[in-house]
Amino acid sequence: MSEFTLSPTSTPSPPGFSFDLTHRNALIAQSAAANNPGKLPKALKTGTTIVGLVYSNGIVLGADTRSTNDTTVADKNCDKIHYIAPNIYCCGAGTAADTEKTTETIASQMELLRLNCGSSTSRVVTACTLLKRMLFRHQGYISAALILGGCDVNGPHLYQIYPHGSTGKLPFTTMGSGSLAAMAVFEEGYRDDLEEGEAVELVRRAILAGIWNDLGSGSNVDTCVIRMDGSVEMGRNCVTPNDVGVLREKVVRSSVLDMKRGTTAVIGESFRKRSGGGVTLEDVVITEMET
Amino acid sequence: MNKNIFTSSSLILLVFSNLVESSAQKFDPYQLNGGLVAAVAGKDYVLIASDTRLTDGGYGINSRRYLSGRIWGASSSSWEPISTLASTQLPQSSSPSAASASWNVSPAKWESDGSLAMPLEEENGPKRNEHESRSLSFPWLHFIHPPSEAPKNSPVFIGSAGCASDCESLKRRFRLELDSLECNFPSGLKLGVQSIANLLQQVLYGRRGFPFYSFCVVAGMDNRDSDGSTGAVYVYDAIGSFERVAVGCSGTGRELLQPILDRLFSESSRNENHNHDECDIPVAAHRDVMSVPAGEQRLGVAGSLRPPVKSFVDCSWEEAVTNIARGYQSVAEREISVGDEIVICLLKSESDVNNSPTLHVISFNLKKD
Repeated sequence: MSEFTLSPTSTPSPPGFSFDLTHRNALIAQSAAANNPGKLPKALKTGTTIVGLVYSNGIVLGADTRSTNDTTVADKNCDKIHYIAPNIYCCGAGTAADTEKTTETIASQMELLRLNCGSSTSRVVTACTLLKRMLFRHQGYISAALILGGCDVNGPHLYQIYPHGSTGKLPFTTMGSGSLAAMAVFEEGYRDDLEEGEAVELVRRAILAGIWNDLGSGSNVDTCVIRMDGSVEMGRNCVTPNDVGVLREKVVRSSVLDMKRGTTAVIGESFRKRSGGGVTLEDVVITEMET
Repeated sequence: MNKNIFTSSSLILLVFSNLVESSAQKFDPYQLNGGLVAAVAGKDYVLIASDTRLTDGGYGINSRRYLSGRIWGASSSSWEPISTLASTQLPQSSSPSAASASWNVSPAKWESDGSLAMPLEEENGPKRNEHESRSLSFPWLHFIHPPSEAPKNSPVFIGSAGCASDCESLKRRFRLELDSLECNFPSGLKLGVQSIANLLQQVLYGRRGFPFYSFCVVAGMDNRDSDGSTGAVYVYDAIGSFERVAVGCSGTGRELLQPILDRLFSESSRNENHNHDECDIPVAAHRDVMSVPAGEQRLGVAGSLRPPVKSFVDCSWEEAVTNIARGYQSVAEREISVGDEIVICLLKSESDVNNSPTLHVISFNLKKD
C-alpha cells in the first residue's frame, strides 16, 4: 500500500510518539533477563562497505559483496546495490532482510507514484522522503543504513539515510562497518568535477579499502554508474580479487567416494498416471483476454 | 492539569529507567582475538600451524603478522638462541602443487621468551603482493638446526588461541612453572611431551574459577617408545581437559577446520594403506580409518594406555603440510577472523644433517579480506 493510495476510510494513528508498548517491552526484557541472563533477543547485524559519490555527469555507487552472520561468511557474492527506479539506485547496509524489503517496498511505491502522476521519471528526493518516513516510523527497528543515488530533472543527487530516519545530502559518502576505511580513501581522493573514469576508479579503491581492512566486508566490488542522460551501467563484480576458482581446482575428490551407477539397487518399477490433486492446462478452458 | 504532568513525568522516568537498565554493562573481562591453531602428529615428524591474524574481537584487524602468543616453545632453554642456519635447498616436494615452487631459506629467530619471531619480509626476496593471496607454493621456508652441543631433546610446541592477553599470560606462567621444575632436575633433564601436556593441564585447571581464555594444542616428539620417536599432539579446552589425537585444532573456526582435516588426513592414510587400489566395497569409504580395532588396542594401567584412535597419521610430511594449508584456505573462505598468513612449524625427528632433530618454519599466504 502506497503512502499515496491509503484509503481515506482507515482511521489514522494519532500523531506524535506512542508509548503503548513501553510497559510490554520492559516486561519482555525482565523475563528474558530472568530466564537466560545476558541473552536478550538480538537483531542480526551484517558488516558492509557501501559508498557513493557525485561526479561531473552523474552518480557512482559502490558496494562489497560479503554478507556475514556473526563471524561466518554467509554469502560470498551477494548484491547490495538495489533498484529503486530506472534512474535511481540504493546501496544498503545493516540487516540484509531490512535493506532488501525496504528498498523493494519503496521501489514499488515509486512505480505506483509514476503511474498515478503519469510521469516517466521519478525524483531522487521523493524516494529519500519515502525511505526516511518509513524508517522514522519504525523508530530505528528497521536497521537499514542506505546510500541513495540517482539523476533526475534537477541533476545528480546523493543521500545518506540512517536507520532512524535522519538523512543527509552530500557530494560523497560511505556507510557500513567499512565506512571508515572507505571514507579515508574518499577524503584523500575526492574533488569536485571528477571525470567518470576517475570517479569509478575512486569508488573501486574505496570499496577495496573496506574489503581488505574491514573483516565484515570482503570478496568482490560492485559499482553502479547513473548518468545524467538516464543511462545506468551496473558494474557487477567489476573487481574480483578474491577469486575462489584457484582453490576449487585444487580440490581433488577421491574416486573411492564416487558412487557408481547401480550402487542403489532397483527393486522394481511401476508407473501410474497422476490423477487429481493439481490443475494443468488440460483441466481449464482457455479464453481470449479482454482488451 | 497537575495530574497530567505527574503521569507524563512518571512515564518519562519509566522510559529512562529502561534505558539505564538495558545499557548497564556486565563485567566481561574476555576478548576473542581470533586465531586458529592446528597440529598433526606423523610417524617421524610433528607439525603445528597457526594463522597470523589478530582481530580486535569485532570487525577490526589489530595485526596481520602476529605469532608470539600463538605458537611458542614450551621447553625453556634447550634450543635458544639459534644463530647458525643451514641454507640448503630442500628436495623437491612430491606434492604436485609444490613441484615448481622453490624453497626460500632464510633466518627464523627464536626469541628468548620462547616465541617464534615472525620473520621479516626479505628485502631481496620476491615482494609478496597483497592481492596475490592464493598461491599454494611455499613462499619462504626457514630451518632451525640445534647447536651441535645441544641435547637430543627436541623442543615441544604449544599453540594457543583465544584472548591474546590470556595466551601471553599463559605462556609466561607456563614457562615459569617449567623453569622451576627443570632447574631442580639433575644434569639438565628435560620434560617429555607427555609431561609438558600434563603440566599444561595443571596450569589451566589452576585457573578453574577464572579461566585463561586460551584454547591450546601441544605438539612434540614422543621419545618413550623404544623404536624411535613419534609425533604426539594433544588438544585442550580452556580449563585443562585434554586428549591425545593424531590431528587436532582449536581456536576460532575449529568447527570448520577439524572435519576438513579429518577428511583430508583419513584420505591420505587410506591412500597409503590401500595404495590407490579401487575398492568396490562402499563400506570401506565410510569406515573411520583413524579408529583402532578393539583387538589391537593396548591393555594396561591408565597412563600407559593409548587412545582407541590412531595417535599419528601415515602420510608424508609434505602431504601433511599441503593438507594443513588447504584446510586453512578453506576455513579462511568462511571465517572472517582467520586469514592473512599461516605459519607451520615442522619438527622432524631425524634430519639428513648430523642426525639430529630439525625444525622448519614454513609460511603460506591466506585471504587478506
